Amino acid sequence: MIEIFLVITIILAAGTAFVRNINISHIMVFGYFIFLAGLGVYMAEHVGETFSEYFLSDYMGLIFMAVLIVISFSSALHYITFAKKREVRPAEAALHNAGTIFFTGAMTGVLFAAHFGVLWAFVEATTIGASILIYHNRNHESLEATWKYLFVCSIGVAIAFAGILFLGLASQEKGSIDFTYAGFKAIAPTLYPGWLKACFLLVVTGFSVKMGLVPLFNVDIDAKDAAPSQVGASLSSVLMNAGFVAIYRFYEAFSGTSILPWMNTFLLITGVASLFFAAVYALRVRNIKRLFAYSSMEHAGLVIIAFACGGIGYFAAILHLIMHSLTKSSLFFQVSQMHRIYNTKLDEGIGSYLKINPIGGLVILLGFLSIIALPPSGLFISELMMVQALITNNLWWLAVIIIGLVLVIIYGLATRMLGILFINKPNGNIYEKGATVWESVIQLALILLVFYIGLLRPQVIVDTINLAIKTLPI
Amino acid sequence: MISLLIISFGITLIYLSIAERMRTYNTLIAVQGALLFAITYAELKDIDVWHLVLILLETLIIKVIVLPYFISRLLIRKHGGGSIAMVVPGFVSLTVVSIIIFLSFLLSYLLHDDQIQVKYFTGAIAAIFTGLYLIIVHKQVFTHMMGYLTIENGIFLLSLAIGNEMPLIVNLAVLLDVFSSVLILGIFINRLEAFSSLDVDQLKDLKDS
Repeated sequence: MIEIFLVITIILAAGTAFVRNINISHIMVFGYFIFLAGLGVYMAEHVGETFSEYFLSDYMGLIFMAVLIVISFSSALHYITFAKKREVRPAEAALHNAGTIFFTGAMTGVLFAAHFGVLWAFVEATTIGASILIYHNRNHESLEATWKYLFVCSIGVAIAFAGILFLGLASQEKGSIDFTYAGFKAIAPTLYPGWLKACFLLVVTGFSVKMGLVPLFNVDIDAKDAAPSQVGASLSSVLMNAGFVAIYRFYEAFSGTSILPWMNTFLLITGVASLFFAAVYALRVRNIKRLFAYSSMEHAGLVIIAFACGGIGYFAAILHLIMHSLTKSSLFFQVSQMHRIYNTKLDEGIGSYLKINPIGGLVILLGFLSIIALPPSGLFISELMMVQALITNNLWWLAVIIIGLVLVIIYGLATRMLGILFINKPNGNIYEKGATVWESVIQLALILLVFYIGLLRPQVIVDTINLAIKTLPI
Repeated sequence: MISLLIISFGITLIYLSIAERMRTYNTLIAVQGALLFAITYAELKDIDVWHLVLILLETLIIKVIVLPYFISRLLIRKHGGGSIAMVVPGFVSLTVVSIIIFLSFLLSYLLHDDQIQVKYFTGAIAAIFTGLYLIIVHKQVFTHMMGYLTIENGIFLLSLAIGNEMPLIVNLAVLLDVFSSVLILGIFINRLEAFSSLDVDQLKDLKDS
């Protein structure tokens, strides 16, 4: 089934690229998403099964597949308005929609791959899809962002590939090269730890560009800024999740070996460094999209820190990724509306937003409260668990540092968001009056979902996350 | 035979460090491709014949023909053969790359791992670090791309070390080539003409303040 899905993805993406009727082009994307949802249901029904040794269905993949469907669908809906308001030419819309299909298909491949080589190939494919989407506006900014993204991602995936080659060298020693997760996990404890460490180091470095972590985070920030907002939403949510899943697969395969404490320390350093850089930049940045991008970097850092703590931290990391995806994509979607109204991304040009666009302002307000993890946001629960995980590991001093850095970022966000909503005066013309209500309704629904999960913690979500992390050491 | 080819590969790295013209870079990258083609044949000749033919064709077509052709067509002709501004004097680069090669050899030798074939590992690590060095010291998009292609050739060489047991790995390495040739060259380089001198200093619009 998944093989058929991927073949159809390529055919449909290629076909969509040549459609010159915008409506038909949009219909093809939504047709694809129905197919994607169908695949999700099929994989859920066959959880635990492998497909032709290269793919598998597991709870980790299914959780992020659900997020992928919701966010991609919302993103495609927002693109309809974007294309209409910006008077996007049919050829550009066709390429964007083809890129959307390809990008979504590549991320699906990342989620369900069962083989390190195949996983790597799909991560590489996400670069192609993302580059097409980032280039959408075809101006100097988007060209620069695309070039940088493409170049650094290429180096990143090449570094990750070197890591996979080290896996080959390690397993050659034992006379068997089995790159499936299960096959490799079985022999991993008998392999030379030095190779495994080298592999993990290179893989995390290479895939950091996808998750938006130190060291390759810069191009990710530029991409989220220069791309249309709905693309920024995808990069900040579903691509970040895919990057996490890619790193998780290696972590899980090596978790039964003696390098587990080393991996945790390495992830902890990566996470704290990411948080530190996010805090430094969040204070000086004036561009709202870049601010949200640095906020995503902060949350990616928090997720990695929680994961490195193990135990309850595993649960917190997955829950945090889900909550962050829903909230951050809503905020990015709303930036698109804001840009139409003020024709700027800089905070000093945006003001009285709650008055000018009440429902959009409400999205920004609730999104802000949610992203800073104020109760009842689901992010509050996950961040509380993270602190608990740090203290359980006797890392209370680190918890203090992390809370300090998070407070700095909250300050950076608060000064900009509250300024936009209540304090600033619009610094120029109002270019669009009467915002599109249905857009904001979708965004509100996503944020309210985060509050709902935070308040009620539905058992189905708790159980699914627990099933997803049950193979990890306690 | 393989040792001789890998030594030749190392010599191309040294030449890359002192090259001053786009055309020279392009020729050296094509020569590296031809050397990798020969090494692939010598190393993988025992694998399934169709698989071997496929990998050889992919190597020959992409590394020796397609990439150099596109680079020549899209960039060099439009920039008149183009000389490269040397940010670091040639003799310094020569020394640095020689040290990189020496340290790569030392590292491979000192690792004392049965699975490491010293010659492959030396060539691969030297190419990866030479590529990174080219990217760091040059300011033109063109040389950055050459640095990336050098890194990629190094990784391809590394993949050959285990390619006998796992041809899929070599196929994935080839996929990396396809990826770069289609995207970096096919789509974006012709658009990057917008940056007239292809200098990365012109790629500074996106910033934080």
